Amino acid sequence: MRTACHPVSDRLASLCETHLIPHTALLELTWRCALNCLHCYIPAGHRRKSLRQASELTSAQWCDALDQLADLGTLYLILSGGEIGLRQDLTDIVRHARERDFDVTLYTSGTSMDDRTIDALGRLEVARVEISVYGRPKPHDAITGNAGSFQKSFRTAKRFAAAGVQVVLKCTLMERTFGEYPSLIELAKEHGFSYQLDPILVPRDDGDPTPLDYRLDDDGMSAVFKDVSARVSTEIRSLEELSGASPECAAGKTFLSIGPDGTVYPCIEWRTELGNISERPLRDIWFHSEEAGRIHSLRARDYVVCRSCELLAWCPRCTGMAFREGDVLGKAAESCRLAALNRRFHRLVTPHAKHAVLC
Amino acid sequence: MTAVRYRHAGRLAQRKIAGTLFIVDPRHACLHQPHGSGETIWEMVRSGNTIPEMVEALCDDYDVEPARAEKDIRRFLRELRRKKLIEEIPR
Repeated sequence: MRTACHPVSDRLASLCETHLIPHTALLELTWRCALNCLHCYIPAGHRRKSLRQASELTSAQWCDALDQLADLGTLYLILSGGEIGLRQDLTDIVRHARERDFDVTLYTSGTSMDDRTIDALGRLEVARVEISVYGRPKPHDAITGNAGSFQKSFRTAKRFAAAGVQVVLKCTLMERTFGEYPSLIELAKEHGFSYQLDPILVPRDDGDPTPLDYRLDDDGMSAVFKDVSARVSTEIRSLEELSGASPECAAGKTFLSIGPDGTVYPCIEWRTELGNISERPLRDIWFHSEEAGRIHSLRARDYVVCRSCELLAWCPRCTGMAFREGDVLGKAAESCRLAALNRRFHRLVTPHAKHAVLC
Repeated sequence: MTAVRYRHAGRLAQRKIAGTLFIVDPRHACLHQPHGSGETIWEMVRSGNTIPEMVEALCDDYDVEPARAEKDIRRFLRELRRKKLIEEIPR
């Protein structure tokens, strides 16, 4: 029996690339959220909708989607929001996912889950929960726009840990969190949690560039890169791998995303609509829709600007970011900035290091 | 022969992808990939088969002597237990 201690092995990645199997799917169960985070990519209009306004898939539809994903070959499942704790049927959906043998990761703010739900999720043996925490209580609450949110999030983290679930505290690196991340690291270490610093900010889904206003400047980012204690989403690659770097992206090939209403996207950043699972089977969308076919056929040679860039080997190129800047085959300014920093500090920061083959 | 039965550890995730079985152990962020008869044994553990039942099935499928089959099965089950991928079902 072969064993690889990496979430996605080369063998799995290679098989999925060859057969166009989405080994990872991110399901946005809802866009609703009680928080008002400054940098959130979901427009406030979506976050504030009532359940009735939100046109979300029902429990039965999500469970059917899980069956279809298992049939396609998806192994890794990420349940995200909005705030997934606002779905009253979260436990039912996770139970179905575990019965279908998925590896389940939860993304949550941790502000809307009661103890009963957390304990049930622990018994269902979800693989991990990633909770957004932006530092000490006061700065955290200022970013979420919700007094008391830190206490709720941190209490949820402790409860998940007590239920036997691996907890990751996740902090977006921005001007507001630059002074906070060291205390977040200390907090994580003190309680035996993992932590992850994410350097990526993107415009909102409606094109509103406001989140970019909160970006950490080059000096700040350089300081974080120099800090050996800072576990920025980092992927270690050999020089040989770096020399074979490609601007291609896994989104739409071995990764997919499904929005709250059932719309299938290549990923949550790349909002090209491939189809809707409430109208058409997922397999049909994935293998026969015009947009999916176009994405499946993309090759490195199609990325004319990026493929010859001297920073390519260091570039955490994200096609979703390029999409938001207007050209999926073109440059993404934030990727270019991080590529320059990566080369300077000989690190390779990626937006999705946990699923390192994704981008 | 003993009538002990095993089951897959509850925390695991698994999927057959393009004909290859992948098993995820999230506790160690490890991906396991059993081959050939290993995959057959893994599936028989899921079905709740005893070792004698596994021996019989393996002999049918792989044209192997029962003694050799049992030795291989026990060795593979030991490996799975060492990696905490299976657990004995309490009688």
